[in-house]
Amino acid sequence: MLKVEGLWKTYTVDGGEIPAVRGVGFTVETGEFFTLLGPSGCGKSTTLRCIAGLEVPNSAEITLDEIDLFSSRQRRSVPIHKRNIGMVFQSYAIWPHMSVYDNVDFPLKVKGIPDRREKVMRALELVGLHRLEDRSATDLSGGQQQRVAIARAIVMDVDLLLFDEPLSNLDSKLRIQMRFELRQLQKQLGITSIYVTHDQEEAMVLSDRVAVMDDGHIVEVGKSQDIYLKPRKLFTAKFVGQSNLLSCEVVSVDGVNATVKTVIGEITTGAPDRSASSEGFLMIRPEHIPMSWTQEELPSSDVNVFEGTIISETFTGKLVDYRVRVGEFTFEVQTPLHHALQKQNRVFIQLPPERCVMLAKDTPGTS
Amino acid sequence: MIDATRPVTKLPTLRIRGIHVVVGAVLILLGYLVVVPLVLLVLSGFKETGFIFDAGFTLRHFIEIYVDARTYELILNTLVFATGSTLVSLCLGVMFAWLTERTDLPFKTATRISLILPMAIPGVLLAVGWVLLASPRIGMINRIFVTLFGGDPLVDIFTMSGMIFVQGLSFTPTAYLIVSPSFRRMDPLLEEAAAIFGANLFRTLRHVVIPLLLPSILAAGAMVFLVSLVVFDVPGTLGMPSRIFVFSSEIFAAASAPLGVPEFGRIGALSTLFMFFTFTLALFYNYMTRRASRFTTVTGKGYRPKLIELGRWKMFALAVIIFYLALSLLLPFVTLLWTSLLPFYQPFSWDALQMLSFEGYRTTLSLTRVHLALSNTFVVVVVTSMVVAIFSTVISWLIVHSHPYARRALDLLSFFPLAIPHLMLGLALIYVYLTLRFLPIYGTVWILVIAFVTTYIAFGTRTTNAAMFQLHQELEEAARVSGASRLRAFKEIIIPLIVPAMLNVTIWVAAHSMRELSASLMLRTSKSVVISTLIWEFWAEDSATTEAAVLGIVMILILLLLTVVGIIVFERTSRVRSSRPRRTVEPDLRNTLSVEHPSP
Repeated sequence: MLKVEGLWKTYTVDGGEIPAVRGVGFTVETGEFFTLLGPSGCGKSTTLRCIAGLEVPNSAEITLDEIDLFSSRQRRSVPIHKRNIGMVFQSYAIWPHMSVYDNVDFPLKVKGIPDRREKVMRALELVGLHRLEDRSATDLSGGQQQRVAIARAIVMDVDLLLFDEPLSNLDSKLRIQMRFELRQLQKQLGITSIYVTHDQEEAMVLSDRVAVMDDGHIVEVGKSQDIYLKPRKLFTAKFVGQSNLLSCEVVSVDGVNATVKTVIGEITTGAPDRSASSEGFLMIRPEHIPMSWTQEELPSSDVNVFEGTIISETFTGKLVDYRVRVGEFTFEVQTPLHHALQKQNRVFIQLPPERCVMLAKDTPGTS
Repeated sequence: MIDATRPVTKLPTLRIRGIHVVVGAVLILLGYLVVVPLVLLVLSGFKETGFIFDAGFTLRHFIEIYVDARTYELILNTLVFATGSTLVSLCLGVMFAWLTERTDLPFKTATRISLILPMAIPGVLLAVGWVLLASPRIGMINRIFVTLFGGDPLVDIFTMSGMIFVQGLSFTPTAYLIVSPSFRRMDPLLEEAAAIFGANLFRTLRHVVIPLLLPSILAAGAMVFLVSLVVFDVPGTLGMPSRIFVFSSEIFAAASAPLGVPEFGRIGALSTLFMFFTFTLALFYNYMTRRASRFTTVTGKGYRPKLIELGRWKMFALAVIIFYLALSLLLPFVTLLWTSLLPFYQPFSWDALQMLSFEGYRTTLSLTRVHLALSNTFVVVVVTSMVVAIFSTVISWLIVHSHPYARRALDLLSFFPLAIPHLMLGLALIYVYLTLRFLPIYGTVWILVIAFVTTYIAFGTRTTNAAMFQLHQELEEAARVSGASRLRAFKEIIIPLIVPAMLNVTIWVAAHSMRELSASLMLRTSKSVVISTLIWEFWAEDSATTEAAVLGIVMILILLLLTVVGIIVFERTSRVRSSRPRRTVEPDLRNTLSVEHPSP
């Protein structure tokens, strides 16, 4: 189990202090795949590098399996090379003067471990490169180089695996394939893993849990499904996927449902389980809004039905993106193809209560 | 599992870490090598006798220099000489760079290599070669001309224009090497765009190509100008006999005054004035290389530059290049070779042809002085080049890894020696080791090693910095995470990846410390003689022309070999580098271009 508490890190740039990570804390269970997701510059890579020991935090308590890796309180720090972790870098960081075999062998060699050949071959086999052991590392393709990097990270019995945007330099087809392989490999080995990415789809596919980061803070932590379907913070709703956000005010709560007032009228939502404030935003994902030419065709035609005007239609291949004007608000609506090619502009949309999520206004700095 | 029984190091912020000790030690060493001699030299200008431990300060030397009309003549001479040789080498260098990089000139690889080869001929030997060709009294060209047509000699090499001509030829490869990479990397789209709008060849050149390349051309100009200001061998060989003095030869003359004690005070004051100029220029050069690299960044896209067709100018261009090579390489070399095979110098004739023999080589190479010079040179060259290569690598690694302030200090201290004229460094080292006697190395070859390490560390660190910044930081971090200590990661990852650059430095420094003739002249004693100073001595004795030519030929052959090996290593290095991910370069260190610096 990895535990991070009160992690602060500032950089000195041109004499000024720039805070990169501001009091981040989280726990990763043994064997869990945990992802730090956020826009560039949010501090996710810095957090990872502090855990690896590549950066020295201003203050933090980092423990791995009950052992202090870094502790401001006890003024102790385990040097990088004694932390027993594996790391996969964005640039692959394959050593060009060594063969594939030597690259993977290096961690074993520096630690003076016996029976190295067997271990190296097993690691190479796991990533499907056992036939290329003699190749020079620079002769490999980008995807193969990244596999070498993964083999090198897992060749030791490491306690923790760190991934710093490892797939972002690959082309999109390969990236999708590697996601699945990586997930499988991690499940198979059961190594506690932390993954850093700005790609929300990657985070969804890979992770058991996701921590959304912004501006040096963790905004929210949750299972990947919850992060997408039931975000608790406005930032999460905005950053992960597309969303329609209507500012709203709670009118009444009846246990199962709540009624809120918005610019387009009153809307019934699922119960606002923890939202104490009476003002906030109503969020609904574009693909969760049924749209139809007549009110009767909607799934349940009695709640939250609004009449609107299509103002644009964009064909994206799998889906069609519409912009639908309802009163003073423009909804983003995503539907499968069969709705397209209708001449008519007048449509009905429905906001299913169970898909409407009530979000409090974000107060930055508290998470 | 983490080894819990191992002692964990305390928090780095609360303890002086190993790296700080190393940075401190290197800074102190660099300071000792670079700053101490300079301070002593400047101080001596303010002392009555020039000896720094004398009591009291005086401005007498500065006032005397100020009121002396000779000073202004000296400044004028130096500026004319430096400007002239810079213009000659820059015009030739830019023209050759454009021809070899942007046009369809035939035999391009051969041409590129041949244009670098003149670097193998040290300035002093080029000057000697041209004396043998164009001295009014003994020069072959003049003797043949007078025999055929009678009258006065045709050309006189012992003039300001003669000096500018020879120095210009000698610096052309340097200008060419600095400028040609930016010609190569310039985006051809810009040229094509101009062509699409109907600009002809010369308009394209004038309005698009030249302005874009201006920063790198100015950088080359500043570099060559800086070196022309401080160079000694050509002004010493060609100017001193006809009493045309520039700063360097003036200081040499003042320091080797035949009567009594050298005027150390005057020398110190002159040097102080002079270094004010060279430091300004060095900073300007630093600034221009920074701009040059910003303008001509590699886009990373593979492209084949469109080459300009020379058409009927093709043969003319080739003829110009061959003519240049004849003047800067072949004629002086053949003349030296001719001289070395004759018992005394005489122009070409049938009689002379009968006398050719290797007798000169036999007698010269069996002299004890020559043996001493050869073995001294070997020691100096080997030790200097290895020390510079290793020291530069360590400095560059520290520049990448240390605190911004330490980084700045390391970068500046290792760059400054570029602005210290070798003659003055030589002088300053005399002060240091005559006054501070804790290292009894005055008069030995080790003082030469110190002088050369100090001057060539500037080139060494420029090269290793560039190589180090091209290594992606994650390569080293991956090793650290894999369980390697800092030292082990340095040994097993950094060093093997930086070896080509280190080899580059080794070869360059070896070639340059072998031919160096400024600091070595200042520090010359009967014990510390090296080949270059011995050539100078033979040449100064009127009767030993053959010996000078013999040693000259030996030296040129070794230098040619080193240059060719250098070119091969350089070609291999640039090929390996391009296949590697790059370290993100911080803007303030991006000026560390790997350019060939000439030897002053």
